[in-house]
Amino acid sequence: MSYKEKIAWLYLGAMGLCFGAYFAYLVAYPDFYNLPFLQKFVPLSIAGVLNMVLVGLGHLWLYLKNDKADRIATDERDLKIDYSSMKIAYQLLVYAMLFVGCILPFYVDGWKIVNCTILAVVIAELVHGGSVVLSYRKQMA
Amino acid sequence: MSGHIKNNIRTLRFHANEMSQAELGAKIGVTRQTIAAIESGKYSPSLEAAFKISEIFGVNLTDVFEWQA
Repeated sequence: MSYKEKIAWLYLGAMGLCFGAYFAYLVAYPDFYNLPFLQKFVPLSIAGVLNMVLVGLGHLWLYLKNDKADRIATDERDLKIDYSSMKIAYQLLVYAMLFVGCILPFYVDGWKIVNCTILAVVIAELVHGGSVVLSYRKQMA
Repeated sequence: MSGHIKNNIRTLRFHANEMSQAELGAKIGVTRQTIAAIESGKYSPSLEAAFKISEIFGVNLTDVFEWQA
């Protein structure tokens, strides 16, 4: 497995774990929407900070575990994989944002829109990461 | 017009003292995995990388890559 693929797995895993836990919390505790305004930021902040910490520690661990030869700079295939994955994720994000911004405000308000926006971004990121990993797995570009 | 690009990199590596994919990759600035993907025909390299590969083996571009209709 190439160094770039390991990095892609790291981003995918950290995002899935932290924000998966955040949305599981929202489903398990519907009282979230009755919390005082500032307290609503706490679970989201925890998920965000945990994601950053996991990615940071993962980067450090991979850096130390892999030889310098493996940590070769991004090459043309890496860029192509990232570009095509980004294109898919961007398309998805545009449609999701249109839904969140143009349709949802007529049905729900406040934090539900915020959480749907976060969900759209997380799904787009997961699709991006998933597409990158899949491309590396299939040796495609 | 449908077809695909066939390459002779594996043979050329063999004739170049069994040069490894990693060595070839390091010479043209790509990863071993990218060389493996090119060899198996799953990734078409840029023109720049293709010229670099042919230069390393000291052959013409058409001796490395050929279009098969």
